[in-house]
Amino acid sequence: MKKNIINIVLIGFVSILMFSCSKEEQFEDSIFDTSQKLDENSASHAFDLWLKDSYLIPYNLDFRYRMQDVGSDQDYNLVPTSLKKAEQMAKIVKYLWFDVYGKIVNEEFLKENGPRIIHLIGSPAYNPISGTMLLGTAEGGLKVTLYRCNELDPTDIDQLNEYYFKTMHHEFAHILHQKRNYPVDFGLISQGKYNPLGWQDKTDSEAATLGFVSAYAGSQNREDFVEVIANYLVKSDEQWANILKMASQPGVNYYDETLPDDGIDGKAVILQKLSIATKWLKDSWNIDIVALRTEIINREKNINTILD
Amino acid sequence: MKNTYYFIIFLFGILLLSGCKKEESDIFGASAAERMNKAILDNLDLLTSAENGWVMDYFANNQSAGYILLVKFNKNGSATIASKSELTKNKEYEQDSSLYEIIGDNGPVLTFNTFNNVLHRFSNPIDPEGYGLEGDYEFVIMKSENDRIILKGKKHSATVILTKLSKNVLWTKYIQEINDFDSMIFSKNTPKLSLTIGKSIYTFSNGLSHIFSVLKEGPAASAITIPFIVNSKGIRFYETQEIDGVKFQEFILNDDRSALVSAENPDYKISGPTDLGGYFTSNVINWEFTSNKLSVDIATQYNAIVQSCIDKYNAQDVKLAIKYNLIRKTFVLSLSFSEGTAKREGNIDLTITTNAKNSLLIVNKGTGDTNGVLYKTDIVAFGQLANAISSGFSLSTLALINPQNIKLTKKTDSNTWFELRNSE
Repeated sequence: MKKNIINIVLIGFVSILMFSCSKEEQFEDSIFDTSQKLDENSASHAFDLWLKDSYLIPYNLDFRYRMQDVGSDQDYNLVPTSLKKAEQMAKIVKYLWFDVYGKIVNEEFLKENGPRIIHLIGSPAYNPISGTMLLGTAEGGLKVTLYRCNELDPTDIDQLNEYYFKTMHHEFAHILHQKRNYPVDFGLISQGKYNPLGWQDKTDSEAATLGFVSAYAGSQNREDFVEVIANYLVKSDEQWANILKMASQPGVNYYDETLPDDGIDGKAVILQKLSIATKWLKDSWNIDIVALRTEIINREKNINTILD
Repeated sequence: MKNTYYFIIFLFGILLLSGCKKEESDIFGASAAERMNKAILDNLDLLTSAENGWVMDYFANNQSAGYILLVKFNKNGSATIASKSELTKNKEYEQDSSLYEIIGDNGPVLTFNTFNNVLHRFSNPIDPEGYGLEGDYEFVIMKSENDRIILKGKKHSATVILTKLSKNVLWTKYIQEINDFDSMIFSKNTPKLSLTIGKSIYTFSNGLSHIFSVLKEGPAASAITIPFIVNSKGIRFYETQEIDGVKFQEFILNDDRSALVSAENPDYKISGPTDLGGYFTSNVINWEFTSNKLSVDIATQYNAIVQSCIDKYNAQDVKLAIKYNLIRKTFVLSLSFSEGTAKREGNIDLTITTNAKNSLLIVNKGTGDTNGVLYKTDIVAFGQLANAISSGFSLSTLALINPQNIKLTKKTDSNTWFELRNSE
């Protein structure tokens, strides 16, 4: 009898240990709670439901439109996105980013490689001292933060591309190269020309003559790589041709002064960088960047069809 | 063996007792998470219980002016916020709806986490670029009572107070009344206000900005700034101020509207000059006739002057004023208007003296500048008006603390009166 009591205590203890282990080892399908029922009486219920069906369940992605101060950069003064702009942004992001990859690459690609969180911020993240503003960040391949969402104008494709989609493709390219490195050769092309602190003092024209698709591309090697991809994806044929044209001509600075020849064939450098990026996307990710770009440009023409 | 067994049983009992003792030391009776959830639900109930919403005394930070906002928290998670100030669209009444939540943070935190045009104006970094007005939209709930909630801005730490608004108050009317009350006390011409404590006199200026600049009269004094908010009864300093050992925060406008009386120490008050006559002895005065506030006889002359100016000079923007002419070094009755692109002005000289409190004696000197003499000839009513106001007058105003309009009533005939508007 006495021995039995001790055994029961031991069995119970071991059972508890086993139960604990069992729970820890069992992983859920999603890192987010998809079983939680949404409040039907909530003012944002329709949008929340759309987000759940469009992002949370298929992509395991939490689309955060309600600003989380603790989840944002405390160094900046920021404000949230309006509900209306958040709704527009969520639909446009799905149409011009997720659905494009789903069609051109495959349905699983963004499920496996896409971010887990997209966080919308209404205002830009200004850095008043340097006179710059942050348009987006990608943190560890998991979270993409998009700023300036309250300025979203769905009818202005150039603005959409410049402030949001270039940023998204830029940040997503960071995510991809953090998983699979791009060729070291890329970094050698403009070695010695990068300027991490003074890039903002150069015009796009000056940057192009040096072989950079934008002034920011001239800040550092990895920014250069993702800027080539992002700019190629979102620029129209005319805009891309203009970058190459600028790269072929002497640079013009902020004072409208034409600068002396720097001895660099900017156009050739940009095309060489694009060639490396194109090959890397194909070889590492099986992505056809030309097909991706064509699909994006075609969809941009029909963007009003997805907005109420 | 038997002793060993009893020893094990004894040890086991001791361990159990020790375990029980530890559980009893939980003084809250619920886990931290449970208490947080309860605090969130209790505060949600309280916020949504105000059928007509709350009056929010908003300060962006402890150095900024205070603004009145109205906030209605709906049970569906939306909040409607309204205000009217120089910060709202076109400086008119503005109302916007957005979402809010109470989240668990360092205590329950009220967050307005989608953009609201009225509230987020204070924290939007767009203007001035990079900084904005450095206000908060997330607030730690410091204290909740049935009709009053005290919040503290999470980033900039300003104290913000919510007070339950009465059920039958119309928002637009409430906001407009606060604006009118504010304008009555503070305008760009508000005289310097003063507070006397013992033998010390403190002057309060810049009231229009809702940030007083307070200066002690005397040598080597340096000004301090006190942010405040205008409410329906008076003003409230952002925080309690101790001046010469006396503590102040709330001030209420007294019945005759001559002073803001301290709610904490009613012996003290912030007031302006008590004699309206003082407003006509300065050499920087410019008091315009208010065209729709004139007695019948004065209105007849006024309208005749305006019509003659139009007929004879094709004039626009005709104005009559009593002012001090710095070139002629005399008070004048001034007639000015636009003739095409040219500005015209003619003056008839006056003597103005104050012989008693709230009294004025005006005398037409009979002289004037070249244009004044010309207009007196061309426009008969101009000379008649100069004669009509050449008399003794009693002075009165709506709010003595900030007389923006002063009514002059003829002492010998109360049916003759006119109102002047401060245009300096």
